[in-house]
Amino acid sequence: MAVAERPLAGTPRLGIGSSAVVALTLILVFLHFVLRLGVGMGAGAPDLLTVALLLHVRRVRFGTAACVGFTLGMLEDAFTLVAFGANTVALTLVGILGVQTRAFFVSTTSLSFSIVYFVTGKWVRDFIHWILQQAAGVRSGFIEPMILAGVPAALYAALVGVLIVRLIGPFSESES
Amino acid sequence: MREYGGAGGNGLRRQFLLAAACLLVGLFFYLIPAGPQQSIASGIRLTLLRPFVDIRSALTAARSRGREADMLRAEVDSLRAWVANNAAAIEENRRLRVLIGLAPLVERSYRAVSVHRPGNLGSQSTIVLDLGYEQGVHALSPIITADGLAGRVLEAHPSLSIGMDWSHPDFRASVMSEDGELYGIVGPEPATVGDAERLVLTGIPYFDVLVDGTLVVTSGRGGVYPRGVPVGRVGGLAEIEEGWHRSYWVYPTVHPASVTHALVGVSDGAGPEGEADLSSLFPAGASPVPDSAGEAGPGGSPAPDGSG
Repeated sequence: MAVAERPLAGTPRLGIGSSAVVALTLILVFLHFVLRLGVGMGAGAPDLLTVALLLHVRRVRFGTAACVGFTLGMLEDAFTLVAFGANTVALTLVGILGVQTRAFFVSTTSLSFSIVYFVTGKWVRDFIHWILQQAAGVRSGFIEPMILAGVPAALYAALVGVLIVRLIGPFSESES
Repeated sequence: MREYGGAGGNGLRRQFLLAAACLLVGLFFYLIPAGPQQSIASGIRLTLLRPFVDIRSALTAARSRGREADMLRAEVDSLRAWVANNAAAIEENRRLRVLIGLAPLVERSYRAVSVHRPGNLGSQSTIVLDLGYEQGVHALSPIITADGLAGRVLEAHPSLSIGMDWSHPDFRASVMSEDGELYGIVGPEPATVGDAERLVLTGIPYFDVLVDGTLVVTSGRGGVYPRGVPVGRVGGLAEIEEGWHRSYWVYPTVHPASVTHALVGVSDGAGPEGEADLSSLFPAGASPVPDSAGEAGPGGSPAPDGSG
């Protein structure tokens, strides 16, 4: 009789299957480009790319998370004429940082964690992008892009992220 | 240290190297020159993201067919009347040019094009056009709307083009006052909080003064933009260099976010074709007055004595 392998302490167990997480990520990425590029909603559509990344990185190791962030960033950068690569770097870093949150917040069932996680993730992604744009010579203020537009965008992404978490169940492995 | 997922020492090292490689490659793409950057971006645009652009084109075409038929019919009627009224003058002009031995006017053709904006973070100045070099569009083709100059094409693909609007940091256009007296160069001024995006007109001689509300049109110099296309209206003094020159704020007549259809210059050759004059398409007084143009810019209205 085969003995089921016990997970190591702190080892994630999947709330939903890994393939389901990949499928969810692909669906969100597809929807992101359909809404923003295909339908032309622009900022009226939530940043599903960041939401997908933040959901995905809770299930993978940080090297993989960086790769996912890199890939999504390249897609986002395809229509960038100024500061090409800023989205790639931003999403790669957010992927790596997102994985690190597992060391501090193993349980993610609380609503407050989900909100803070998505809001912070989206705002940090925008902030890194803003820094890299400034470094590339695009001068813009801080208040308008990062506070007046950035905070509502982060809350919007968090709203969508929390709804998805509520729909699919726990998105961190140890809670299933 | 053991990471989640049970990675051991080798696994951890591999993950670290993978993450570092992704980050370094991302930084590399960020730091390389614009040419290679856009080659990479073009590859992604024309493959993975092309279906989304096609969706947008199809939606825009469907919307136009459904809602704008009456408007288009009215415009066609107006154009027909204009052509009928001017046909005799055009023919007379052609005969006179032949009689005095002048070469025919070099004219650039224009085609109607749907304009899309990607809406992704960092793509604020990007315009996607649904025509490419198969239809005669080429890099440097001007993009013009009924209100004036919107931008120009950066790169043309077989049936798709990528352009930039006037808010792109690299946008520059040679312009003149509507009466043709003063010439200068306009370029974008980055947005500031609570202020409209605007252009800055440089190179105006110190002893010449532009009055607020003066229409600024393309001069045709440089061969990229045809002459006589409205760019914006003067909205205050931006900078003054004593005894040397003045700079003015210019509030554009075209708001890029609202552009859905435009005209794009097409030609058979690979490059721009001489200097056409489109001033007859934009009669005096017909160009819209931007909301901000009437307000004085940070420098305030210039005083006639040149004190600014």
